[in-house]
Amino acid sequence: MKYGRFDIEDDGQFQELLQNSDYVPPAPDLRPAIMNAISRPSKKRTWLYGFALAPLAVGLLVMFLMCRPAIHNNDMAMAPAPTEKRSVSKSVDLPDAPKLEPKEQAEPKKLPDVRRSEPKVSIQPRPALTPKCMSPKKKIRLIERRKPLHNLQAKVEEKARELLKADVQPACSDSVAIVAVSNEPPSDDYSYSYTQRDSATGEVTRSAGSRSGNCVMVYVEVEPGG
Amino acid sequence: MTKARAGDADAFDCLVSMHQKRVFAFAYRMLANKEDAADIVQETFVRAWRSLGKFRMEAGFSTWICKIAMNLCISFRRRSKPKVVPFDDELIDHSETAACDDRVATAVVVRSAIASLGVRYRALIILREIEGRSFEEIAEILGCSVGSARSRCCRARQMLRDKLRVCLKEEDR
Repeated sequence: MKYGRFDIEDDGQFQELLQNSDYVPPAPDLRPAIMNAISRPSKKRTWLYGFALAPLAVGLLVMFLMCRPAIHNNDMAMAPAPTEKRSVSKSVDLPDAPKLEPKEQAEPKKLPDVRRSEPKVSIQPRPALTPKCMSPKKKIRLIERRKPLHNLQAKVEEKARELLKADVQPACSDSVAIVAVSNEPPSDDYSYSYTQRDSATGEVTRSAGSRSGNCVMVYVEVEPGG
Repeated sequence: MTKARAGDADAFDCLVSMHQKRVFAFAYRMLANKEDAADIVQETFVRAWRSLGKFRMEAGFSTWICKIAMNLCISFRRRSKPKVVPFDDELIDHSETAACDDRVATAVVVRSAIASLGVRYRALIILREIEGRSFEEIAEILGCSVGSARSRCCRARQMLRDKLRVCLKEEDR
């Protein structure tokens, strides 16, 4: 298909057609305008500065408004009591009414010159409001694990056996019988009991004790002899 | 170029004088209005001055500034209404002899067909067919691959051909 002398199906002629149809007016010299434009700050940047400063200005305003009531309250507290103003109406002279002498206005009470103390600025660091989280590695046991007492129990039993077997001469002439009974399995809880009999008086003392956790119970029963 | 990047206004002035005609021609072809094109040229160079630090020396300055101009033209075209009859007034003013009538008529039709294309296809026709830029340069301006630039140019050319065929049939009637 031809357009004038150009065949638009042919790439070369098509391009030639387009170039022949092209027209551009002489370009104006825009250098002065461009150089003038780049020498002055852009409006967009001014807006950017505005946007950057806006939060700061709002912050200052909020601080001012927050401080304002406190200062105002202080001023109210320090100000002298307001004098009461009374409207004076024209008095009508009644025949029987006693003449009232005009009262002298009382002078306002002078308040003591209390100077406002300067605000103290605390520079001590405030303690943290939230407790520090303990790392799982540094767990502290609230109740210390007690050492197993089965060794002690074995020692007691052995000592009792030795005492029973040995031919011990006591310091006093009274014979003392010691019976140690403790067949508790080795555990954190431990209990013991023994019976002491004075052969001279016949007095029998039964003693028992138990320990469970932090609780220690001691039971002593004395039975008179005779 | 190096001096201009360092903030030398005189060096940038030289760059403006070297490239302003080409940028103006591109903007005029895109917008078909002298005043709008002048505004686009001014804005293009102002933006280029502010973004000189971002300019990588890998691409040519001409390509880079054409990219800025094209984006500005697209934005401008989106904002403003397209003109109904582009180019006519100025073209007819410059045609003085009757012998040029056919050429003028052909040019008006061709340019109307170009103006009726979408703004991106119009840019492709201007860059490739009228300015004769390479596909590498077009790819750099469009920010796409060379193959993609080639296929887009081919599509734009086909669309323009279709429009010209329609115009030719209407003239035959």
